[in-house]
Amino acid sequence: MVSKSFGRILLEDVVRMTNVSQTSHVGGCLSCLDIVNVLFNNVINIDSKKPKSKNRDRFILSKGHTSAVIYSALANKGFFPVKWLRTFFENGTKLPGHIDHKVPGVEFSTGSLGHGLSVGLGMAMSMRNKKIKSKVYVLLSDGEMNSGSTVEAIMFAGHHKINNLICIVDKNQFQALGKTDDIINLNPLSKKWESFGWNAYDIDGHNTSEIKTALLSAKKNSQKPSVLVCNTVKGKGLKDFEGRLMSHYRPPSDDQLNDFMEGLELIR
Amino acid sequence: MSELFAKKLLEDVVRMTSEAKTSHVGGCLSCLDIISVLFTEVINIDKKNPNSKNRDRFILSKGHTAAIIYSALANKGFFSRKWLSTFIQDGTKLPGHIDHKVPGVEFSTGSLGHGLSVGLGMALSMRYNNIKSNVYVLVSDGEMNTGSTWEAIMFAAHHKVDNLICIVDKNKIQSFGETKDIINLDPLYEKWETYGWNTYDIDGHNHSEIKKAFIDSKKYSKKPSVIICNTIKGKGIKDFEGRLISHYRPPSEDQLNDILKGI
Amino acid sequence: MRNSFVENLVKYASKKKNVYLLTGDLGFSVLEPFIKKNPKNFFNMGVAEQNMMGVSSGLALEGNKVFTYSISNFATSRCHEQIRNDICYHDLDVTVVAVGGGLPYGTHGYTHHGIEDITITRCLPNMTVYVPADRLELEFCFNKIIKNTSPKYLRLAKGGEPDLYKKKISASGNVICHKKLSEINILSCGSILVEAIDCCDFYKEKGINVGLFSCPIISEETKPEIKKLLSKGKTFITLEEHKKIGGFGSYVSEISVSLEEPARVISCGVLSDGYDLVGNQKYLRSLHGIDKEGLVKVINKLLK
Repeated sequence: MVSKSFGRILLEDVVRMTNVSQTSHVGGCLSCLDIVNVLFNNVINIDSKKPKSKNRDRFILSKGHTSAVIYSALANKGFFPVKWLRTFFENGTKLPGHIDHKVPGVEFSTGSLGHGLSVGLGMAMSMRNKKIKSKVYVLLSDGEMNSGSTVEAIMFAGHHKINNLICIVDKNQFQALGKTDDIINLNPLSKKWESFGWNAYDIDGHNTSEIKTALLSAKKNSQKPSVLVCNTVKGKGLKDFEGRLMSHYRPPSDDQLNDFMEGLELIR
Repeated sequence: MSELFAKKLLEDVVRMTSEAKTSHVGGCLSCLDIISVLFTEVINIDKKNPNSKNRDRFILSKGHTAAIIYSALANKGFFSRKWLSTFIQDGTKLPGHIDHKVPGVEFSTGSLGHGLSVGLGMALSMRYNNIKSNVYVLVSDGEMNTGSTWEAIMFAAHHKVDNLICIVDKNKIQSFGETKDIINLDPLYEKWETYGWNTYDIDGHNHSEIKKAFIDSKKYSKKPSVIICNTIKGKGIKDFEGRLISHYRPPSEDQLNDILKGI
Repeated sequence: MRNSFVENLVKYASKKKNVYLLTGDLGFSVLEPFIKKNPKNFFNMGVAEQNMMGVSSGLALEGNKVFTYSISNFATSRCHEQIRNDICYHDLDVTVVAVGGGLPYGTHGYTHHGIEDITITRCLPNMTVYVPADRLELEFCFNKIIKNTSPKYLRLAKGGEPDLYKKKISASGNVICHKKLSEINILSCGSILVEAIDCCDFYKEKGINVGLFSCPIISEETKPEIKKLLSKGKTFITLEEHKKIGGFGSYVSEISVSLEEPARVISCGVLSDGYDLVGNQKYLRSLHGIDKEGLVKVINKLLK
């Protein structure tokens, strides 16, 4: 099972990277980990030997603060040496805390929320005009649904039926100051997207087969842009962090890291 | 009462834009009936007490149609009607986009997509301070393109800011063409409903429908309200009705005279 | 000037497939020639400038040359972070085109006065700011814009500006000399140049030479040329239809203070406490002292 082992590598990397650098945002890395796993392993067409190939799929991480999981995915896909991961967040590193386009394989830098969907939309519009058959995938947080700029992109893509744009919402139900439902409740979220002309899937964001099925179905939809609303658990995998706001801030402790690694050994 | 007021507004607006040779008469005329009803039968404002804490607040978010609000306020006695003839002249007190330095004007706008957030802030404070009045914000349908408008829509719904009443002047034309061709949001009332607002979808030129919606929305609690008014851009000037040129072209002398005769 | 911009763009796009024009729902009876010839490369983004800047970045990343069009504050202030992070940090080939730079929309009120745009664009990384004075300076700038693949801000006035040049501009650098260096000189930026020309002509009739240089390009690249002028030990008046804070005058002053012997720089621009004045462009120029008469007052003082 190639998929599972890739997922496990991501898990180990992300927990280790945030532990070693003692930095935040492990929670949001873990909530989208299964999505990134399926996407990078089974769906997206990218090649470390031809990173600028015109026919590649494009991926934009709009929730740029969870860069660790993408750095891990790209390193393990051969875009740069895995040993770079150890320099995450260090002075003079090639891997800044928010995702950066200077890192091989990264299409776009983000870090301010609400930018990624518009940029992916622009790429998709150009690709459609040039008859490039690939897709643009944009991974958003549910907190980004607060941003008007995201709504602007949703409205425009719906109106112009930009069907090569696939958005994935990591609905981990937390944003920086609390529960998304308490800050601006947008449930049922998929209905909001549908009202703007999007093809919406509402799925379990930790069920790899559901994710895969939805992504493959979205790729085939030729009428509308698609969105996968992925219901996820923030901090998934780290017992004390699951579904808790502090997973947005606190780095995994050495004990947590050790327990976690032992747990992984037991399970798989 | 509102019909009579509408005639005054019509005369003023056409005269002001014609004499100043300036744009935006179309968007003034599309919301003319809304303003007539609002300022005569709904909104509680008093020129003698313009800063009364219990007044209703009104914000024109589509600030380019300042002329009609200047006329409404002048006719309500907030300042001399003579000022209207200085509209957009050098050194005037009445700039082309609505300005808060004009007596009775709560807020300056001119960049689209700002008004609803500001009204929302006022409404939150009023609710907190137990002021029972309402905040009315008039937006254009073109402003529905703007993300900032949606930020306010989402927040107001989440916090059930029920003293906020938004009016959309759905005249179906924005500055570069028809709204439905640029970003089609029809059916618009469904969007607002999906986002948790109490919604009305009415004929924006029918005074009794407008009045009914206002009275109903004032009573409504638990949600903010929006009144989507289906209107005609340039309404009243035959050659301008439903046409994009009404956004730009000032009424000619002939058109002005026709209007005055009609009144 | 806006129509000349579109003419230049249409001409350029006729040879290229990858030129895109996005508008924030503005440009009626201006952009049509481009739309007609390039319908697939034009999008009306609606009143949604943040999205417009993000989309322009995505288009540029795909190898396109993108122009966005709006009124100055909507084109710059409203979506400043998208310009900063998406366009400038990624060093993308996007030209943010603004109409209403300065006070041509003076009667429309403060929301439509483009008087802070130079400050907030010129401070961004990789950015070059173009402020042409007329049709021919626009062409001069446009020829540089098509070669420049980094972020650009093109600040236009409106329409109907008088022609200030008799023939195509042949300057080799970025600074255009109108009247050669003298004891007192004007460095002018943008369509306000017309006032500087009138002022110099006024003194010429009196037998006094006032130097005049037009500086339509604010960038790192222009700095050595300005430095060279400033190092001649003369007096310089900077002229712009823009706030003095952070604008062209500040740019020149910053260069001056880097000299061992800084030049005397007098800044003429929109007054900080007069930001809310309303009236037509001519009227407002006069109130801010940036018309010919205002310049004459400044120079007369210097001559005393």
